[in-house]
Amino acid sequence: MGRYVARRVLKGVITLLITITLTFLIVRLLPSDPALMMLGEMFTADQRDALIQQFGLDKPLLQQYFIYLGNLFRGDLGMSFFQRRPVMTIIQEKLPWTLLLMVTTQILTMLVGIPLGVYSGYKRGTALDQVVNAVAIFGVSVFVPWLGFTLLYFFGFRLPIFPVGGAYNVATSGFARVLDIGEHMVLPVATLMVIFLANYVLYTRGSVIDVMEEDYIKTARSKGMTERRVLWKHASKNAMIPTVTMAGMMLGQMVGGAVLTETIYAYPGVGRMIYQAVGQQDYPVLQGAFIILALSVITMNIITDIGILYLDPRIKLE
Amino acid sequence: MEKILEVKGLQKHFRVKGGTLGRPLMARAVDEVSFDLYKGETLGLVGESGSGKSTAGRALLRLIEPTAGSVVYRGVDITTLRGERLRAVRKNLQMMFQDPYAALNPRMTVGEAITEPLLTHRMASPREAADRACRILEDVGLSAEYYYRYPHEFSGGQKQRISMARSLAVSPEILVADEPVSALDVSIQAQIINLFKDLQAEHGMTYLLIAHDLSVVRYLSDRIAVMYLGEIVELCSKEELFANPLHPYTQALISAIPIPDPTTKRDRIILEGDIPSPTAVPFGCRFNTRCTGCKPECHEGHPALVDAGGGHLVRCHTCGMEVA
Amino acid sequence: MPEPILSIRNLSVGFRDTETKEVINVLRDVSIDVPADHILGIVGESGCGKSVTMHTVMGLLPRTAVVTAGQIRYDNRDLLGLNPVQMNEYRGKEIAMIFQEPMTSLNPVYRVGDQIAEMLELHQDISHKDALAEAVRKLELVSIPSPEKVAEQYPHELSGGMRQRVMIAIAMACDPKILIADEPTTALDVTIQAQILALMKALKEKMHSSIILITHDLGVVAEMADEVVVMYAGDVVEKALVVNLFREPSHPYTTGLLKSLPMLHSSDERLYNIVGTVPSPRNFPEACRFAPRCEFVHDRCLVERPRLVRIAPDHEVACWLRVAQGAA
Repeated sequence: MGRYVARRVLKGVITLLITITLTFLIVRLLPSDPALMMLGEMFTADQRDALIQQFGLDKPLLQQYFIYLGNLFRGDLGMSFFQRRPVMTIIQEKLPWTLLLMVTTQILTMLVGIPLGVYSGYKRGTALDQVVNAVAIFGVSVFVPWLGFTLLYFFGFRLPIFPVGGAYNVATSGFARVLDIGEHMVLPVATLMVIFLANYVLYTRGSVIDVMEEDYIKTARSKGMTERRVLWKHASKNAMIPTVTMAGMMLGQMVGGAVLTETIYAYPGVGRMIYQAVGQQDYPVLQGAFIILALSVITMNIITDIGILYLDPRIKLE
Repeated sequence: MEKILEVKGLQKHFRVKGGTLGRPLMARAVDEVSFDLYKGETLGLVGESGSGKSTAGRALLRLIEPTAGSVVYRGVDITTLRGERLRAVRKNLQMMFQDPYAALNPRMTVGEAITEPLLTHRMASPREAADRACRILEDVGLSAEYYYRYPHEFSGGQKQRISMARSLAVSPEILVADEPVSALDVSIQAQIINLFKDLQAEHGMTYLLIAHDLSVVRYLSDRIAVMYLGEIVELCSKEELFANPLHPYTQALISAIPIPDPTTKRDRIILEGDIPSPTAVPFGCRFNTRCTGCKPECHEGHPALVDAGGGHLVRCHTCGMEVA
Repeated sequence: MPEPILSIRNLSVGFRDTETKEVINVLRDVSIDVPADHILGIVGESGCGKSVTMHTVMGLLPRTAVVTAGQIRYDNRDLLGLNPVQMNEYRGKEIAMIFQEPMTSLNPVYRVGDQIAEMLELHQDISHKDALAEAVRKLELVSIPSPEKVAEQYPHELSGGMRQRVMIAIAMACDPKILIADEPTTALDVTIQAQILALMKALKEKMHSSIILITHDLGVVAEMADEVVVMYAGDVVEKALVVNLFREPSHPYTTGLLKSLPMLHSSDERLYNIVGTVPSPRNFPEACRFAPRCEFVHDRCLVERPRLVRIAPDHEVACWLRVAQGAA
């Protein structure tokens, strides 16, 4: 077990290093001159050179790379071109919001999606199953911005139940703040859930249908237990294995979803920050955001893998 | 009798996952399998799962590459051939598999399935191939009118006849049949067994019959080789093997066959435990983990396959001696 | 013969076609008595209805199945009339079952010990801890070496033979009166089969339970069973004490099966062929279902269905040939 986790973490570190190198290279090899972009036309050549020196852009690529790695190691992601603040500080402000959004979505999706999938798979062909199926297929095929704007229009504007943007109201404090944060999360989380819930439901439903045909289900029934126990004890744990594997693979997609939703709901997370940084060509911010997101995805992947290990003892530990 | 195939020191080792620290292990699926095949005979290769009998069958036809050893067919070593020359020799050695459902391509008509090997070996024009396919269909007890039908329209026994027809289309001299009847019901099994006999009587076929069911092997074979954990432990004529089994494994195997006669009561030898993994072959005699008659030397040296008299080959430290 | 403890009476079971909604009959009037402390063999090829019969007893039929007639008497009750809760008082506790594929019959995600303990917890008032300790004793009962270790293992860590032993340990955990074994050794090698059969026989002697042994292997039946029921295409065609059946097989299907065994013949004898194959249930003939494959078929077989008749004490057969002989 310990060895498996160690190997998994090592693999994660290697993946992260590759991501770091790639982001570094992509940014350096882009055609536009960031210094020029940032300064605009009105600065002198001297000022430009000073700036280039300040950001170390005059050094050879390899040296820049090692400086960059060294800085990273100390938690220094560089300075934002646009905001003139350390990228790390900016990300530290934004990341908790995104994590809050993603973790909440992930947990709710699992809590709703897996039981719904198990049940509709078990009740295959019934009216309930057909409704669940239809809704799930809608979720898989929906266009995210359209969904976001529709929800925003109806529940933020026409029926102003929920706030139209931001993460909290500055005027609140204490418990009211907590409630307020929750209220601000409803629409973004709902949007993300519609997209990801469908996958959970359809995956779990499919695997329950397969699992119910397995011989060990026949064994379970012949032991003389209720159908409820057959389904929730013997079928669902097996059926969850492919779902959790899928969840791990979907994490990357979730980040993509976060960029869109945060932008639509003006949510102050990493996603919206990326959207803005792209417009401003703020390379250090983008670079930092990619690395942090890669780190989060890799970490969550390791957690999922350990989760699967817990679910499926057949995975070779060595 | 004319010797047409000589298998010497055939070996197939696989790398498998699962070693400590992720190092691959060596599975010695087939180790030093040697036997001769004579024209018109049936040699039975029996053993339980994990004995390496199927791997041996595949390796000798080079469906998988053997790790070592030679397979000499009429003076030509197949293991060294390549390309066109391998293909030319291979048409004389055909293989037939256990699962008639998997062996036939569902999108090919019966006629296409049977003519395909004829056409790939460029043995006939399409028209000749079709004529021949119709004749073979009748040889295996089906009718030529099945030519344009698809495999899914047939029962298990009929599919096994079709797959036999396909193997026989190129008129091979040797047919390696891997568990040809074990997926079939008793009454259907009898039909295929009879077919094997008929084709041998009519065309002088030579069979290498790989099977786990000793009663089928006994009925069809002239000689029987018993495999255990990658090697042949006993090889002799069928009559000799059943009358005078020498190796303790063979004895246990024979005594384990349930006899369909409730009035025969006998003392059964019940082996303990399972066959060890081919990745952890026991030191000394490979059967020493399950043998009841073990002597100290059985844990030391690896016994060789020796003639215990009259061509009765056995690989055992203790039992070969008694006879010699 | 002792009183039957389980009595299947005139059981007819069909399957509903999912498209046409039409019920296709498989079992027809199946009557089987299981005496206490006996091994009853049920023989037949695939598609003959032997598994369907026992799945009906266990309430394991798929949703598309329809029981059209019959009773299953056990303990003075008709098991077919019980609701799921009442059924679970028998299932596992009084009547247990093991299956053909030991590789897939155990739940891969739970430890062996837990799977045995579950059976005890379902039917006895016992704590999980005690049930686990008892599970180890059950593993000992089926002669598993180092039972404490095996109880902690997952099914995939065991060989096929070991898994079948675990299945037997689960099935025998609550000392059932009847063990239904559906082709328990078909997937196993012959030396392992010998181990499992010996174990089943020893357990039966020790616990005085009955075993219903479903198999296609006449050799296994001859060695194990006291009585044999031969089924063909959803009909019981012959019933007899094992010695009688092998000494005087009376239904043409039974004789055909015996004549086609390579074991009983020398190589120069040609094996007997039963022509054709078992038809699919949709095409089961109305009268004698074996008629199209029977070499002794005559007019009556095609129009009138033969019933089981007694041709000797402890020997019944459903064939017009025998009825004619009996009458003459």
